[in-house]
Amino acid sequence: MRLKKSTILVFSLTLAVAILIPVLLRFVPYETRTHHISLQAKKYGYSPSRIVVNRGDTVVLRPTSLDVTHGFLLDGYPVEFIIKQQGLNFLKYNWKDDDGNLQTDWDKVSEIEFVADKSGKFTFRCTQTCGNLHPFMTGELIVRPNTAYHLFISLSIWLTLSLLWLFRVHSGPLFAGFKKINLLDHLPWLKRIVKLRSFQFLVILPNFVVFYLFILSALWGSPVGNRNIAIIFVWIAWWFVLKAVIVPLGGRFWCMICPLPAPAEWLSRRSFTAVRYLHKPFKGLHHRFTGLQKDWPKRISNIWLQNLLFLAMISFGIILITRPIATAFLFLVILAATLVLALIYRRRVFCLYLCPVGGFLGTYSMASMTEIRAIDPEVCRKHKEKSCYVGGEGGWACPWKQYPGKMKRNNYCGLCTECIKSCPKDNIGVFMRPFGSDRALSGYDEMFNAIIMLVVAIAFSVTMLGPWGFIKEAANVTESRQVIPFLIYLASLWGLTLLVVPGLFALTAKGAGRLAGGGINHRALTLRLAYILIPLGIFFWIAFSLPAVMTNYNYILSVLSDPLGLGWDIFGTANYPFNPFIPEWIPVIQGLLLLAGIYFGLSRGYLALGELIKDPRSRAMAMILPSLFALFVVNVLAKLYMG
Amino acid sequence: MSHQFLTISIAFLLLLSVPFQALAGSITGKISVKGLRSPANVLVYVTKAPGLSADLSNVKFTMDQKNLTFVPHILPVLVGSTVHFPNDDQVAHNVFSLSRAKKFNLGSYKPGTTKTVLFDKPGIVELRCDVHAEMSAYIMVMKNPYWAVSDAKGSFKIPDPVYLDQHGIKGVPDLPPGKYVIKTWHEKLKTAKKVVEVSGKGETAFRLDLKRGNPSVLYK
Repeated sequence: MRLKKSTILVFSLTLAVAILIPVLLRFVPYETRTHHISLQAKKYGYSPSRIVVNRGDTVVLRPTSLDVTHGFLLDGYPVEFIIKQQGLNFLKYNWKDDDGNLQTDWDKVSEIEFVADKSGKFTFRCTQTCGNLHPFMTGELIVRPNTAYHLFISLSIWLTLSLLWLFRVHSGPLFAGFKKINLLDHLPWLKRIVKLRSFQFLVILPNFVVFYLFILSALWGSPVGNRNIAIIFVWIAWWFVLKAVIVPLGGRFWCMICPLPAPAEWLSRRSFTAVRYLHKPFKGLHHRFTGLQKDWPKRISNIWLQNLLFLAMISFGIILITRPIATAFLFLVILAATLVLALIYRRRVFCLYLCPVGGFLGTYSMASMTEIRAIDPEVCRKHKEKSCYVGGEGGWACPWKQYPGKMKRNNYCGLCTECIKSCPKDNIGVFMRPFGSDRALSGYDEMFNAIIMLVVAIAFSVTMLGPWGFIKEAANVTESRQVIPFLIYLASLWGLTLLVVPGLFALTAKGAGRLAGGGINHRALTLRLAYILIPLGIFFWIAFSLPAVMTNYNYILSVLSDPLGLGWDIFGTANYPFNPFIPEWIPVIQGLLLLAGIYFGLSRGYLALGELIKDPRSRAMAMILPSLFALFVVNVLAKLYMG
Repeated sequence: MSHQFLTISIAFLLLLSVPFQALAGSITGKISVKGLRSPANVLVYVTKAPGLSADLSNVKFTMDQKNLTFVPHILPVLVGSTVHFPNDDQVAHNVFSLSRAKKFNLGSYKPGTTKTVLFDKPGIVELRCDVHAEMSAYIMVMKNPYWAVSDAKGSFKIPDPVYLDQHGIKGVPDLPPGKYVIKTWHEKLKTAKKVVEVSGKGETAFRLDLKRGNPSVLYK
């Protein structure tokens, strides 16, 4: 994409203004004063949960705990202390001894005083394992002027308006990206590996061993979440890697290596690696499987069930990710479900239609940078046997019920590589492609999936990253026993995901249709516009999961040394201290991720429209309301993270 | 009779002290520390100096208990003094000491009540509370009244007129001219030792840089 000089000039000038306004706000005069705050710590929050001061103000805290021992570690400031009952606190201080080593001690104090000399948003976190939700016990110190946040608002508006303006004035192709590359051509070793019959078995095996050890650890290890390897590795390490690396780069790559349905598949095939090929097809496929060999009913061959199961799982999200036993239970239920379903149905019906994670992996894989596709569709068309779909001597029939010859989207391709092996024409490739390449949602089930993921990212940010103890208490029903608040929490979650936000989005799409000049199929337009939410959602989830790793990475190191929480110290890291990594930069990094979300959401959404609305003018008009919708949602999240 | 004698002798001593004061001096100084949040609560004392053979019956030393804390954290007293231990907290406390200079255990007692202990041997007495493990304080039983406890800025003055006045210790003259050994004590700092010459012309000032470590005993 080549821009005109005048266009670049306008962008630069408006960008300068967008940066200048928040920077000038720093020079608005204000007075400094001293704040005396009695800070109460209680499972799992502080009161006040949000402290707002001006830069240069003196903050005098008088902390006390209303239940157990809590901690207080302020991001970006050298303030750390332990809070006990009756106003008894231990303030940490450091000094360098004669050998230059840092030494630490604690002083008993009743007041903690510091000067808020850095502006921005700073989170304070509990440092003492105080209960199930301990990792989410936080509060916020806002030191005005919060320039980073003002800059974000200004830049998000600038970016949205600039993109809209660009859609309007630019006539040539936009955001072209690179031409997709067949990795199997470029990397002969990769081709040799994926052609191996034992490939899937070998990539699943290590995961299989580790995952089932996690289940054992979840069942018999420490019941304290942040001391159990299952919780830490699944919900902190794996979740982050899945969201931030696997999904954007590899799409459903996780489905390729997922150990959960593996036993079911081995049982159903009665084989770990080999293909059992029948010359005479049975019910359309050249294989016979263990069990009843039914096909999944057509009526529910969509992801509605996944949407509902995901919401059901997320309703107990904070319990699931803090209680090892709940995680073990989830895995065992999935294991049982895959085994039972494999004995009734052919192919991977659990993964396709039920797996709560599979739903969003499919939707988000539309944007991912990897795809498995036919190299030349013409070759497929002429190939009568369709071995990829019905099974061949070299590979099983596609477990995901896909026909690569006509497959245009990543959604339901589990990247299992069977087709690469079964295709006698060697016509299947593994391609690297630009981010956000599949752009057509096929139905409202997928649109709802995108909306659910977007709202849940916000809801989790409120519940887990936010400073509000009462929301955590409501979500943490098994401990707090507060049924009514929990029901309100559930109603808000389900209402927002299934009614309010979809409703707002439908209105936005309707308005977009009007602005575009009418005559466009409403359903098609809505589904195309919903594509904006996919890159946006991916960046939302990265922005949500990143702080968990940056602040809690120490638990990863400690559970490696003491996987069952039994007091072992295998690598000497069992007592690695809680020491968040550059936590004062978290809001800024999150802001940058959200800006990237706007850019990729709007630009890819615009491309998605390109295939539906040919006239550039009405296409640009159709983008206005959805862009403002995206801007609004992004700013909701930015308010939570930065404001 | 004895009362009269005492009055006369005190008056005589006071009279004597007038010319002495002209020829005597005090020691002032500043402490800086490495390894503590503040240079406060460091005891600075003269190891050998004239004792005070005065009546201690009007002298009141108090070690208070408030908000799960002993106040003050460090309390120097003259040997032979009685210290009051009022419980001004909302909960019961049980003050005890296992130190060689004075072993005692006051038992658990309720808010609003006071107990007393006589300290008759010089040395360090570490106070603890049976109920609250994190409570601790020190009573330093001193041979002579030439001491000071540093303030938040690390400053001190020996003898400490404010401290002596507060506790009702009267008639402590300034130090006669001569060489004195000054030592420090804090539970988390290495004891420092310095020889100071008091010239008899007002104040002798010096600085002390203290480091983290274990202190030694008060008197060898």
